[in-house]
Amino acid sequence: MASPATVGHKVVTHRTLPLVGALHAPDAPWPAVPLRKLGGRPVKVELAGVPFAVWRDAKGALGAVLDRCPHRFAPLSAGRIRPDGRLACGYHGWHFDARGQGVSPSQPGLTGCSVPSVMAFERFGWVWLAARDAPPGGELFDTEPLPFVTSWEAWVPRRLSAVLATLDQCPALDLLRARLGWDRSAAAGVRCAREASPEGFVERWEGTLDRALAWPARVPEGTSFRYERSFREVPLRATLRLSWPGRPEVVRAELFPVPEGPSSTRVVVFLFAKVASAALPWALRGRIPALLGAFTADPGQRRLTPSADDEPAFAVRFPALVQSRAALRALAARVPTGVDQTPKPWTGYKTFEVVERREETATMVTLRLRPRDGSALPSYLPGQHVTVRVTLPDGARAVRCYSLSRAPSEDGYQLTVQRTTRDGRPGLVSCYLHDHAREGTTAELRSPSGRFVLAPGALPVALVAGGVGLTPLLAMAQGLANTGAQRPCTLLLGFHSLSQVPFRETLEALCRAHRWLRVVLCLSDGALPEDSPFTCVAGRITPDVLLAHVPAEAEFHLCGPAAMLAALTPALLDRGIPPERLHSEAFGPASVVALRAGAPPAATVTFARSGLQVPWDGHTSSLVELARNHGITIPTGCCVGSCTTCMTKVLAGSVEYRQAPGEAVPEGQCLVCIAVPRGDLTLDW
Amino acid sequence: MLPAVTRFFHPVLPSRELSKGEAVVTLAGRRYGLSRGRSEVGARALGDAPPARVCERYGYLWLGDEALPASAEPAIDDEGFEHVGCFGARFEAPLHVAFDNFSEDEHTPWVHHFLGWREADLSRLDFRSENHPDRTEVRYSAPQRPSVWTPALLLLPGDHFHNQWVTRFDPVRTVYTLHWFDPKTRRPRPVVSRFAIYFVPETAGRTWLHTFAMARLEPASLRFLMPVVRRVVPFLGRNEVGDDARWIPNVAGTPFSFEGMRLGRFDAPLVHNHHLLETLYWQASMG
Ligand SMILES: Cc1cc2nc3c(=O)[nH]c(=O)nc-3n(C[C@H](O)[C@H](O)[C@H](O)COP(=O)(O)OP(=O)(O)OC[C@H]3O[C@@H](n4cnc5c(N)ncnc54)[C@H](O)[C@@H]3O)c2cc1C
Ligand code: FES
Ligand SMILES: [Fe+2]
Repeated sequence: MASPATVGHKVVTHRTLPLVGALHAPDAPWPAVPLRKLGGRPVKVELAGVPFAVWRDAKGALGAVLDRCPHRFAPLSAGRIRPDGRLACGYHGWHFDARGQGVSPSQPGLTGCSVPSVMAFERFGWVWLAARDAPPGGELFDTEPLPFVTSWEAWVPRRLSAVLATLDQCPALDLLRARLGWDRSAAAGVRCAREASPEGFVERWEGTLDRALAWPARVPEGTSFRYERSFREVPLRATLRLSWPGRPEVVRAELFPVPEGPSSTRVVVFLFAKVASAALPWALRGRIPALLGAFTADPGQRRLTPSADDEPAFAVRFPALVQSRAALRALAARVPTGVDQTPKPWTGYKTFEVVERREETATMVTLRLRPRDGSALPSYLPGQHVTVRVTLPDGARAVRCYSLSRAPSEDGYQLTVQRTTRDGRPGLVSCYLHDHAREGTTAELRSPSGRFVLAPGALPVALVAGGVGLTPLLAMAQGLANTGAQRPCTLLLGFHSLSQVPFRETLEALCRAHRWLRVVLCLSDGALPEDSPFTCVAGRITPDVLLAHVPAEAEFHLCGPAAMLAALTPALLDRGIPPERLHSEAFGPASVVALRAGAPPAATVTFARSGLQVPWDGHTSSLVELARNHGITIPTGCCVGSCTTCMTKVLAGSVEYRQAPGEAVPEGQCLVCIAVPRGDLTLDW
Repeated sequence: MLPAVTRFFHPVLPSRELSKGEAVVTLAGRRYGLSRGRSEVGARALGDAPPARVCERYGYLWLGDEALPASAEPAIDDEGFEHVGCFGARFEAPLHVAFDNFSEDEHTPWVHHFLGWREADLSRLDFRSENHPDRTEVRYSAPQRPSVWTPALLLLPGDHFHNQWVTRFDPVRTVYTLHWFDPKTRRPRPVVSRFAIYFVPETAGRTWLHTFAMARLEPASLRFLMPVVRRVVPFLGRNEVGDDARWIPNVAGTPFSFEGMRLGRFDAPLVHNHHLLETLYWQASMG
């Protein structure tokens, strides 16, 4: 019988770990850790789901072993480096040399104490892991010796095949267009040839620049360019090479998409360049984030494929791309990424309990929750929310949505709740949580959902929050920091006074650690702090303030009270910000109102149980409001199509949604909180 | 869901944490509301938990099945000792992980601040363990490593410690008796401490360790130092248990079965303990 003590816990087969499998091919190295991360402590790095502990001793010698002590399976990366250069486990002190030979200090005669090891070597400022002592060293990028400029790493929360697809698809095209001065209108003059090579394949793109380039040198419009992309399977890497025939400049990037596990990939890029001026490689460094932004595009993870209008057109014009894509799919299938043990979203409600309560400000409380059954939690996209059902002291149940107020973390979900009053009455759920939620208090949660997440791509990001609307945006900012993408980001916060600003320490730390992040505080009481890493502005957030601090080409993410969104949205549209770059979430039914557009269809809505028939006038935001206006109260929870409390049977006719439901709606049902009729409609109410 | 374990009384809450009102506790995934009325403490099963009752002993509230007879109420082996404090510590790990950690001293030099020996003194380590059908008995003795605690415990540099314990499974608990002695004369030092630690599963992934600290001073002429001992011993206990609690999340995912592990001689009691954990603690609860 299975031991009850293992219930709810990952049971991993520890017998044989596919160490070499994790390394893909015995003599093909993976870039594992930048050397600068190896200080006096070991570092954990995961390759294809297999954890390694990598360390460097005081003399500079490197070691890499399976991150699991053979004794009682403690992670060796939680251990320490001994003065003799060996890695000691933090549990019982068993220690290991770089070949994994182990000794138990408390029982020195014990044999069989070794841990599997792999080879580690240093090149271009990185520690590389390989199974064999085979070639690498100097010959890693032997093709064409160019001066090494810099290296960079981006973490992408997506599996390898999805990352390969991005490398192949839109970002590469974006790069051509945006970085080489070739836009869609000039596409006709661009030629693409593709060749299979023994190691993979090569694509050559040629054409002429339709605008002048400022980097890597001044290259005038009309110059011809050559762009080569080659993919090699062993070691898995893409080589991107730009040159301008007849000119001395060459820029080459070597990209290593390294599968970390089944659902995340690290892309490590090494940049080499030959440019006329000696100073230029340094100038190029500053370009890396933007360049990488184009390749690894998607920290926000929403669209991993090119925008719909690009794809078919390019496929017809450049059949080579279609072939490359098929080749990359086949390649991705051959590279191990580890067993998928990531927890999956659940359906319905799951019981959680509060494990920590923190007073954030006088009116905001942060709650950290974990499932009561101890199960592991699925991750989520920063910006998403959970639907929470609580049982109030009088036994009644109520449902509300709360944003997850930090980027995904292993120790549970975190919510931050503002104490709310509506029409002078205390808010039911927010006040309940403020007054009653303690360690141990339970609540039921649906799996995280919601489409208000970071817009993908490399464009600058504006995160604009009023009050507690900060919660999803803080998670997004932390999420951006975790990807390492260095995408320029401005977080604009509107509060009445400084004392009301939550997460001050978190924000300050983020701000100090990341140069690409700016925090602008708009304080309506005008009292500005003297010493603060933030930019402070007196007054409310207005479109002028916003556009003074944020580049107009940014992706705008707005969250806050309905009134703030109602004021900012039209003003931004008026100033030419296109709707596809305006993303917003209101913490209530206002998001529906904001999205209502076009002339209302003439329709009659019948509430079957009462026989009431009323015209749909287009002035109401949803069927719930229409019902309420005529004395019928349909129970609701979130009012944004997330919680399904308002699910109603459609007896005749059909509805459409002004914003996409956060949950799948079964055939014949509808979420009346966000639905409007499409012609005559009969509801089971 | 874990099997129910309320056929044994488990300590769940220090009495001082329920002076009035209600507190909610979780035992093996089942929730109970504990409340203090004018005269006694009551337990209310929440959700689908079966009815339970509480009793109050040794400064703690203990929870068990409603039908448990008075004879099942807890008795701590404290003969000759004075109770000097009790406390709970949260371990973010399944029961077997927290319990294994407390079933060997091999980790003490690395995980702890005070307990343990120096690597150089290993040859002088004496270790014995005995398996019995209902318990394990273990003994460690070695030179105490130097620490700031030494004077507070009335020890001299070079003293050896002697840590002897008995583990039982109704419910899971270990009583450690720890004293120090002069290696030359083998005469014990005045402070003798005892810690009864109960391993209480809250959920599949979290365990509470409720500790009852006890002490005695010998000879009688030194009893005037008892007020110091009353402070030092629980403080020491809390600190050392805290060291384990901080380490434990690192190994929280390790499996119940020892398959594939290279166990050493200090792990012998762990293997027997797992057998008793299954047959006496979990299984009996399920039957
Ligand atoms: C996606 C999303 C994310 C959110 N994230 C957060 C968060 O991170 N932190 C936070 O504090 N709050 C958040 N909220 C708001 C939160 O869900 C509650 O609405 C808020 O806490 C007030 O609830 P209450 O029960 O205290 O107030 P009550 O006033 O008792 O109830 C509010 C209810 O009434 C509805 N309602 C409110 N105003 C109107 C109106 N004018 N007309 C009709 N119905 C109305 C609401 O939709 C809600 O169902 C979020 C809301 C949404 C939709
Ligand atoms: S009220 Fe939540 S989905 Fe409609
Ligand atoms: Fe310990």
